[in-house]
Amino acid sequence: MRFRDFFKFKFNQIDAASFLLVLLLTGVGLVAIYSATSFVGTEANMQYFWKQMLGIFGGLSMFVMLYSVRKSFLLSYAEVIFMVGIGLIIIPYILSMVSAGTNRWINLGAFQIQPSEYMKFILITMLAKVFSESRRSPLEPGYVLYPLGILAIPAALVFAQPDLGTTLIYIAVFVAMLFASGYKMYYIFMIAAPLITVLAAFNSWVFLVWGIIVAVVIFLNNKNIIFSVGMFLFNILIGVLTPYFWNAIKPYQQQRILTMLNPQLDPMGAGYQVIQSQIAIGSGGFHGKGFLQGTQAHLNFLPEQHTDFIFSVISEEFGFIGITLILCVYCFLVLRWYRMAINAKSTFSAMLIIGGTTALLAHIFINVGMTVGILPVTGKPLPFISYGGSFLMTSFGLVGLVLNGNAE
Amino acid sequence: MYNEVKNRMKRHRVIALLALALLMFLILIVRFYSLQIVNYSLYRSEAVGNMLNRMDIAAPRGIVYDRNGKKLIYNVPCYNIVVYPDIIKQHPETWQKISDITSVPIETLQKEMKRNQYGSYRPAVILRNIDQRTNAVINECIQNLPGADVSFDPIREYTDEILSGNLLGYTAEIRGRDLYRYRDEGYKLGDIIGYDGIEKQYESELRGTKGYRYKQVNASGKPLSDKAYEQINPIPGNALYLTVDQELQAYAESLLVDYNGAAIMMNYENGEIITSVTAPSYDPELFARGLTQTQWDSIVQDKRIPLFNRTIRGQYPPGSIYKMIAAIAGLEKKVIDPNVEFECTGVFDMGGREFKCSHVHGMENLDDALAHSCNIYFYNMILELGIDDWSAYAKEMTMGQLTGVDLPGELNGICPDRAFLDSRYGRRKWWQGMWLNMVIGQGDVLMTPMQAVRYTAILATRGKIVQPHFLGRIYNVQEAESQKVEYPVTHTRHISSSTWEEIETGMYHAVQSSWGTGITANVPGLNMYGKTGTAQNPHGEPHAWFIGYTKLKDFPCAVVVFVEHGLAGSDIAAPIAGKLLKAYYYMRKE
Repeated sequence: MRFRDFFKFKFNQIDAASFLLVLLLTGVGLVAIYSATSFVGTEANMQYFWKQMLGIFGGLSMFVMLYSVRKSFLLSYAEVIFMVGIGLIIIPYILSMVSAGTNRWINLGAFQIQPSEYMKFILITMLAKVFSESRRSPLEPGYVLYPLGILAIPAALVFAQPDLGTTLIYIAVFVAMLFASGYKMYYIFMIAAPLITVLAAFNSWVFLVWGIIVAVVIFLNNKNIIFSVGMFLFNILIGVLTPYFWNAIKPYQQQRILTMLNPQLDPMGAGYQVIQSQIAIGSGGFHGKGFLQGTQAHLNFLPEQHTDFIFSVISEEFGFIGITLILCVYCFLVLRWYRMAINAKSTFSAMLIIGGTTALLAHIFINVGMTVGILPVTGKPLPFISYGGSFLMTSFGLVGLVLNGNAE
Repeated sequence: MYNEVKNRMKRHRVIALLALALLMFLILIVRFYSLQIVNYSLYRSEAVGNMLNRMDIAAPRGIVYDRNGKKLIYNVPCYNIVVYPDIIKQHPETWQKISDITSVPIETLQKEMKRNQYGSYRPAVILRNIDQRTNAVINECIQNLPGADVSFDPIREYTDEILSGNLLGYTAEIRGRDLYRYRDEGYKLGDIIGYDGIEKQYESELRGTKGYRYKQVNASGKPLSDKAYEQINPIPGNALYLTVDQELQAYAESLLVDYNGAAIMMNYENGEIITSVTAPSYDPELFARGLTQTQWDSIVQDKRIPLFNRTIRGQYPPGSIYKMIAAIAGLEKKVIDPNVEFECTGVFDMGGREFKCSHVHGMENLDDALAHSCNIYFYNMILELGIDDWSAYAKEMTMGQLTGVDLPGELNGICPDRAFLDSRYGRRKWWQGMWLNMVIGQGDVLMTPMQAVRYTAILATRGKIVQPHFLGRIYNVQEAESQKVEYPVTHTRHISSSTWEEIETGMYHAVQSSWGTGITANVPGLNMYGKTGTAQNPHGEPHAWFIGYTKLKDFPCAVVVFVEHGLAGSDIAAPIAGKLLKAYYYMRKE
């Protein structure tokens, strides 16, 4: 086997608009990081700026790799890569049994690897293969079983780390690909119903209304009375059991979910971050306070302002205008990429595009939703803008995968 | 190898995903719109509140003047040594240097810092009220004292001419339980509040409104520069013009210096108190500067109780000065006639008990009885009059009621009546002999000197009831406006002028005639009326009372002098009253 069997550099086919806009967002990130790491009363600190520059080069190399890797290679070796990925996720577990510490990272001295990040590419590739090569029709209920199994292994491992945010992103990627592959809506509903039941179970009125919806949908779609009643009772059972599961999860995760609903519950703890972030955003107003003029950022009120809450810094300094422009760029990119899926040459390419785009969209929505206080604080960074080399590599890699799918 | 498989992707499904993505971005933009446009002002003020740290600027307390515009209470700067806990932590050698300069042990200074510390970035006072020399030394070597500084607060200064602590009151840092009680009025730890006297009574006028200095701080509260970001200046407290005369006050203090007692002079037409002295008193400045333990002990343990304001809280048997009430009731109820005489044999026998008189007066009519202060005349009369009419007239003359004088903590004495005796001794467990004691102002009758001066004013004005007061007018420094304070004036129910004339004749003779008990009070030319009182009491020698007034159109002055255990009213109280009136009269003439 030669190198050419694995990679093909096809830079002439690159979607220039996507690539330039991604670089533009990265530039915005550099500016925002410079602002977020300068504090009043201290020397200007360029350390983060230069590290981010380094991260961009790492990201670009990841982009080149995933853009250039041959789809034939991915299709042939998807299972092997998947096994290796799962192995890498398990390694930190084993390490953490030997030495105390978090079980998310593999420490390689100079830098650390977070296997759950690379698992995003691997999962997308694997699911793309499974969906595109499935011998079952998406109109059969059993169509979902194999891909669901593929999702379940890494999702369960990452959830147990515990990393709720990454788990949600895996699930989002899976659901979007499943949906796009044409799986019957009724089946998707039947899979999603128990999850919604869990959420509905916290309020008896919502639970009642949801129960009626489930009953109606099942009745309209299925003539098999025993199956229908069985599914219905299954949902009810899950709803009844939910409070027990709720008590079983970690208090800090409960706390995150609760303070999401009402940040004022805990103004000095988890809610503090959200409140300070909202103050930063709101006080930016229409046109912002100006570059380096944000009081929330420069007087150190914002938490994690160069990573998770970078968008709050931008909102404070560049206001509603700046934010709207950036969100429009993101929106333009996401819509452009989804559209590429329609014209893709193969189902596998289209699935890569759907998966990569959804992963990025989920990151954007989870991060921005967190800074504006409509989603829980899951600690997910913002693609291209947040500080952090490792995540830049993930983001650029996802773009590489998407544009690879689009290219010949 | 890789086979090109046809794209089986469902187009409408992808379009649905597209729409969903669009919806998500729309939700985010709407949320930003709500935060940044709709609620902009809310979050802006929160951001400003975050970055600005508010520090109080104390308002200068109002100045208190006497009736002639002499300063009784004013403010002077007081210098304190303060330290910044965050800086001095890095420069521990500063402690030793401050200790050397002030010769206060390091441990004491550090303990003070802990006590007064309020966050690590706010200055904490470690030594109050340093003298000029220490201040100069500290200022000179402030460069070598990192973390230390000198701050200054205004502090209360009280005129040295008079003591009058009970009247003026004093200020001090608000105490814990008061902090709780007054928290709704914006008091904070370390604030100054008035205790006792005028300082307490008019706290809301004197206090002023705090100002604020806003400093820019970072998230941990550290100020970023010394410069104030914004400053709201304090509004000084209102100045008060009292009705008292500082010189007469000082003179009255000197007259009472050897006694425990009280002296009050009041304009009986309008209730302005010219002089109000309780003896002994204390120096309020000691309190304002912070008492040492020994100073505090000596004040609290003093057997003469200097903290006790006898003018409003001292309830004493009034003795013979109470007899006018029985006389008015008797005349009005026609129980007696001015010409009816009773014989005084020096002793009155009732139910086997002997009630004595000071002398054997022989045959006495009302005029004689008041002038000589004959008890037996009134014993006879009360038995004919009965207690109900007597106590009704006593109440009419405001006995047993607060005067409403503008000092905190006034007490109301006791004006006994049938119901009072029933409740104190039980129904039918008391006997008429008690009336005999009460009619001459003893037994259960109690009165404060402030009540006595109002009683005197009622006698002088033939029934006009004024409210004794100290505050003449309030001067608003901010608006440069002076406002006179109005006080209510009421009147007793109708008492015939012939009755008043009889009372006046008796009180006139008590002072003016050679046989009167109050002759020692007389000041020729002042047209004085008066009555002495010598009140037996179970605690020791009798209390000496004198009440009197001048009947001059341009000098309407009522006077009360009371001396605890001062023996006869004629010997001690009356001469002091005379001297006071004389001094006031001639001072006015100048």
